[in-house]
Amino acid sequence: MSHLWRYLLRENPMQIETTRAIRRFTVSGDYTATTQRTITRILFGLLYVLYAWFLVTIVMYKDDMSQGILWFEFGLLTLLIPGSLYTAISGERERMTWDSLILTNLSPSRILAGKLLWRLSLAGIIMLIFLPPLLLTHCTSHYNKSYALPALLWIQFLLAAWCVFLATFTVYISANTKRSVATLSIVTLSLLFTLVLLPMLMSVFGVSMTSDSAFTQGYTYGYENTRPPTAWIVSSLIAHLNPALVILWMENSSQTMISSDMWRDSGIFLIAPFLYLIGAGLCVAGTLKALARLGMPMQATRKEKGG
Amino acid sequence: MQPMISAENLRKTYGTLVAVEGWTLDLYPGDIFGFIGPNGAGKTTTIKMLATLIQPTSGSATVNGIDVVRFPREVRPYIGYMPDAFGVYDDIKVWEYLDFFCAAYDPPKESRPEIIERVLTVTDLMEKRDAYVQTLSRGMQQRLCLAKCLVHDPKVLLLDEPASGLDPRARIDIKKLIARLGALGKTIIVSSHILPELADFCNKIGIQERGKLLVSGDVETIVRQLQPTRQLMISVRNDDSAVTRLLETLRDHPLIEKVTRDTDTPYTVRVAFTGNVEQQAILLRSLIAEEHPLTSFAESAMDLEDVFLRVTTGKVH
Ligand SMILES: Nc1ncnc2c1ncn2[C@@H]1O[C@H](COP(=O)(O)OP(=O)(O)OP(=O)(O)O)[C@@H](O)[C@H]1O
Ligand SMILES: [Mg+2]
Repeated sequence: MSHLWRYLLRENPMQIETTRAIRRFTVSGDYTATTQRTITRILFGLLYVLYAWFLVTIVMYKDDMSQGILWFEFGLLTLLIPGSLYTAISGERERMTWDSLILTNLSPSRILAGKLLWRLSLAGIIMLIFLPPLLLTHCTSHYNKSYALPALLWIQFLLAAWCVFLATFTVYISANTKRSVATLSIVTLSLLFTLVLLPMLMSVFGVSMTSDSAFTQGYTYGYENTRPPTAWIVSSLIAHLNPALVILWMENSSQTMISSDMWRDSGIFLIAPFLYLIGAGLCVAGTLKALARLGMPMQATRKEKGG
Repeated sequence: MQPMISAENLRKTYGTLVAVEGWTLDLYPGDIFGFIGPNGAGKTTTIKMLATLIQPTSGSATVNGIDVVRFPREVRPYIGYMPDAFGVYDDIKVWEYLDFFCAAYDPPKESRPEIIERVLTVTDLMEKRDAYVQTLSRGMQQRLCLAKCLVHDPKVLLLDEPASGLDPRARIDIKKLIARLGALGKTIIVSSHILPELADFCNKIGIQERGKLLVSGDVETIVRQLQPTRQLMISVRNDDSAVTRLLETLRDHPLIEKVTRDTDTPYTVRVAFTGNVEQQAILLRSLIAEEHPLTSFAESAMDLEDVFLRVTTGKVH
């Protein structure tokens, strides 16, 4: 274990990525692109403002804001992780640094670990930053609490698992595309599709679009008496693994509500984080394979020829 | 002695395009091979095949006796490869950049600062040690890239147009550096478009066009091979009538193809001589016997530019 720690993290030359990232965000000087720095600063400024607003509202109005905070956190992480990772491999190839990198014989696992480390650490830091307001709002709210404390903590686990999945998924796509624009498009489109479009489609075709029942209820609408088609079942399952919806369903109020949705009633969303982690494992395996192939262009083409 | 680089019948095709064909060469420790060819000749393709970055369509190559196709991972530590186009990581300092590549080869941790010091000195980048790599000029980045190739002390250096884009002074510096590395016993392949640029520090050259190595060998042999006629420069005493008389005598000589009065040097005649060295000696003896007032009789080294233009046809595929 300690060997692995040293090999992948402490003595991994790829840690240089972390140094570079920290510099990009912190050091000022004429060597960094100024526009990039300005944009980063504006974004961070906005985040500060929002964060302050969360705190002020919590203290002043004693409302339970946890759902808002959780959704915001989820949205932020979902933008940030692909945004910082999509150039991980395809970008190296574009900037023509890849050949030099593979000639050093750094192992795919070291490359991957170096790429993931600071991005996931950043995600972890963001989650830590949002933990105090979450707990504060949980403890100070006057009225009904949105979440039970265990549910709140479980959602933290859900988000962490989501981050790991998203990061590994982005690297996987990055390792399998030639251009980083392609990486970004594929990742964005698949996220848009699974997180937004699919639930919308499901609700359009399966749900009476009344009040707040959209997305949340009756995915089996119209199939009450017959077995729904398999494609239907799969897509509604995927739609049910959407972290934003899981956050919604974990609410106290929504748990007492009666729904006609088979997935929700079965509580399937409780295994969502584990499914994310399994997905992450598959993405890691796929990425390591792709990196090995990219690192050995000779043998890769040999196999292609043979097969 | 075992060759450090040995290639046999390397061939690479892209679809119907033959990028490299029948590429056979042996290089020994200390050899500096100047690899010349016009655009699209297949230099980069060849070098990349040797660097384990492209799979040859057929043929084989070894570096330090290890097959590059079957054991690329084992070959890589012996190679320092400088691509013709390369990028550098930004937001890191020169020494950190080198430290990264050095660490990637897993030397003992304590030895790294010393290694970095050494390559910085060799490539004359010591002053820029703490500069950010993206602030370096192109020439400096090129030197940095070369420095990066040296951190693991490779036996073989594959340098793809290391001098392109450099100012004349930097070109001289890089040539000196390459010559010095050759003297250290490294085997070096250095490509360029320009033959004269390479000729003065390479001991072997190869001229490639349209994927084929047209000629290769040591510099003098090649020049000799390519020169069916010898260029003789014959000067006489400052006297126009002497030049005229010399021109007349030479014009009738059976072994002389062409005689012209040289425009650059006064009182000098340029002769395209088809004979061998013995016949050249006989010619000199006969000119003296005929009492031409000779001041010099010399064979001019064929211009390397001429060699290049003669060998290559300028066709691009
Ligand atoms: N990936 C590729 N796909 C298709 N054709 C290629 C590829 N790479 C190179 N070629 C072709 O192979 C030939 C040789 O290219 P190469 O880059 O080796 O030439 P070069 O001698 O390095 O030229 P230059 O002096 O311009 O660098 C060219 O005709 C080129 O178009
Ligand atoms: Mg080239």
